[in-house]
Amino acid sequence: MLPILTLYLIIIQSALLRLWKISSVPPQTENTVIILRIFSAAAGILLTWIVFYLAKQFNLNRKTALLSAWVYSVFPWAIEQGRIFSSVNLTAVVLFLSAIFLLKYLFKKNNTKLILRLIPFVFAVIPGIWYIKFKFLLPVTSILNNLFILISPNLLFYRNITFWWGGLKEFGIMFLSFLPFLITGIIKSITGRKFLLTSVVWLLFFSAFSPDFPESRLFYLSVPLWSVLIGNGIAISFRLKDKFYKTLIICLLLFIIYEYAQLLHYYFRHYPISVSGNLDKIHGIF
Amino acid sequence: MKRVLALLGVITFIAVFLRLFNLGKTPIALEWDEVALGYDAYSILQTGRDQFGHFLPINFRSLDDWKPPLYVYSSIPGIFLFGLNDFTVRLPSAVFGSLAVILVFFLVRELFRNHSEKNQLALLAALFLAISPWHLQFSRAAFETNLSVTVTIAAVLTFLVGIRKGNFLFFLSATLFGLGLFSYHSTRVVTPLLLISLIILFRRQLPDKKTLIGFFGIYLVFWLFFLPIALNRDAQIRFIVTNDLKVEANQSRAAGEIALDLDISHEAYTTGRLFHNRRLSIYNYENLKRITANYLSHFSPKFLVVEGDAPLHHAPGFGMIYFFDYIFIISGLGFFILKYAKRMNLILPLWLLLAPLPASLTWQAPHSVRSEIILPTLQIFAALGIWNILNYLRKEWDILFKAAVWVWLPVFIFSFGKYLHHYYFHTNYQLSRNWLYGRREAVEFTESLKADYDKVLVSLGTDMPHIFWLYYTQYPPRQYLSEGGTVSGGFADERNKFDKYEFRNFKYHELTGPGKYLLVGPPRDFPPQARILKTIRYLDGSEALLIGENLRE
Repeated sequence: MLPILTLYLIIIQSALLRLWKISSVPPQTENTVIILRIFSAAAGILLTWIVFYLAKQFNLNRKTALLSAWVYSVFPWAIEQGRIFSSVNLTAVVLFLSAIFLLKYLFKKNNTKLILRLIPFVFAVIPGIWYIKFKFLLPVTSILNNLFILISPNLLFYRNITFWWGGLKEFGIMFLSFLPFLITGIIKSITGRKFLLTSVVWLLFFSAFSPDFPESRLFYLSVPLWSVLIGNGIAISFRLKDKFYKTLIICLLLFIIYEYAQLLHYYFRHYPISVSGNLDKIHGIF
Repeated sequence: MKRVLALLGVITFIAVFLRLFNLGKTPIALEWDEVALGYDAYSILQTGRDQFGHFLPINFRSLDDWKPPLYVYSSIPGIFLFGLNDFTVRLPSAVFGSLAVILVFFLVRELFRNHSEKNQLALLAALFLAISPWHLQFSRAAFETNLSVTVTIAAVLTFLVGIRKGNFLFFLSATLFGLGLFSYHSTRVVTPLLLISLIILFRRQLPDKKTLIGFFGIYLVFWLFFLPIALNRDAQIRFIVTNDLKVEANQSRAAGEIALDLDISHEAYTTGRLFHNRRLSIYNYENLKRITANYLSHFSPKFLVVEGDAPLHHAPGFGMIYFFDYIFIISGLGFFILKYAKRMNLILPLWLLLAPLPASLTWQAPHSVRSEIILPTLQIFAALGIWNILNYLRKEWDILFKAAVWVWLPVFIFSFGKYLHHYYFHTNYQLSRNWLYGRREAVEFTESLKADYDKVLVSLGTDMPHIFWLYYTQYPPRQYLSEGGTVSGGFADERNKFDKYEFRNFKYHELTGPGKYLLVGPPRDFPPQARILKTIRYLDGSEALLIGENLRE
């Protein structure tokens, strides 16, 4: 009962973060369609629930799944994308809903190894088409450069430049305080859930091939997976018995809360002002 | 084992050749720190005193940046044997750089001694370090940081072997860790942290109390000499001028943010006072963000692979490592966690994580000089990565293994060749300005003409001119000190002079009195009607320095 209640609370928090003042923050452009923003917010809320089930599909326990869902609900990039019309946000819902069903079926058949070997070929199709179609735009050095931008600490923790005129540039994709938990989650998944990490790596390559990089924001598709990795990292850290580590983890959690508060203050107070000067430059539905 | 040693011999030959070939000619000229190191070593050799007259200093005032002494003292044998020249000033860096390659081989063997592939890993790591653009860059110029890398590798290696065998190497390790305090600024932070880490990691294998007391006794002796330096405000100047904790700028930014909140609304102002509070937000969060951004920037591919940092610190168009290194380093970290991580080799990731700490507190981050001590961990992880990937492929898919080798080898050769091309052909042409080319030519010219003039005035726009003229004229240190020596190594100090040379700014149109002056300076110091005797150009054709004479009434 308690876990379900917690999940509901997380979803309520996610809904609040995505729906509160949605008509005015960020400010509207002449192309804004409020119903589409709400649609995107609904996708963000649904993704919070999806992340919970996705984590469970990776055989993580309920507590870890809840933590992953909470991490997704407060992810700076997810909040930003959940409050504007974002096609990549809607794609994420479709992709991960499909993933849950596929995983449920495939893991039962116990043929993970085969799937892992097939994934590269499946994922290679779209970047392959892009590469053939736009090869003049995409020399190998550009792809490498894109990859390097995607894994740079600057983009991950300090400055998200994937939506230049309308995005929240003063924050990175995720909070800096997530980093220790992310590392823990990655280390754990190297030794255990390789599929999770492989998916992140493939999405990384997939995004780097995009002809509209970085504005295509395809890397956003990996945010639910980052959330699971971080959620797992937090859960593992909670299990540590040593008092020193426990104190350290409590400090880090307090730091997450502090950064979260900073994000909310910046998003609702300063971001609308900074973005209002760029509204004429934002084309398409915002 | 014979084959392994033969391969190590080949790698060492490559390392030595790459470090000594054209040393003193590429890069084309010595920049000011190199020249200062060289002249101080020359002065110590001749008089036992530095350019300021300090007797056998353990901290060189130099260009008012208070350089650690180890590089200066290691230059003395070369200068004694072959005289003061560009080759001998850079020689310690090349020698210690080559030595690092051999030491890395033994370090990797020691760290992975329980693994059958230890020799292969050690050879690969040594090869990667031998051809590393980062390590080569600083092995071919007089940078104290390169020497400190070798000292640190030797210190860690002797600690590991010494603690295992319980022999004299353990005490040698204390000496080397102690020397680390006198090798480079950032090493003064990193080596004590490494030693603490080693002590914690090996706490169960530590020798008896008597040996430990001996170890710390030796180390303490170095600290006794180091503490006065650490506590001296003059000696801290390097940190004071480079530190990135912009307290005052952050305070005014906080005030600006709160003022903006006041404009927005009353409730924004109320919350803004908390979130932009200078105590909470500026001293801590803003600085923490800055420091962590600086820290993480050292692992950024943009810095490591794409563009490096300042032009002086890498070949043009090249980063600090090869692009394939980055992939192997990441995979190497993965394999380390999966396969190798044990208490005794955890020092490797700790070293990787500790190395950028000092550079994170300073501006211009990422900074390849201040963080060079991260070497050789990158090369060791790259070796782990490539070895294990190939090994895995060989076991699973032999065809893929062969394909990988045939793909990787040409990429490896091409990347290495491209680096050499950029280093040997582009550095001198594109970066002669950064390497302060033209000072030697100016000194030779002024020396040939100075007898005809009352004074030679060298503008401070020539960048630390006094040290270049001292170095290139090889002005006898004894005579220089009897004339007062260097007054100050400050950038704008106009009091330095010797012989007929005065190092100060001048206004060309005011030098119309009776004196006959030879003038040296950058083009901006001379008006169009100036009487120019010689124009020295950078290798790209742009004007570097002008030498002229004053117009007398």
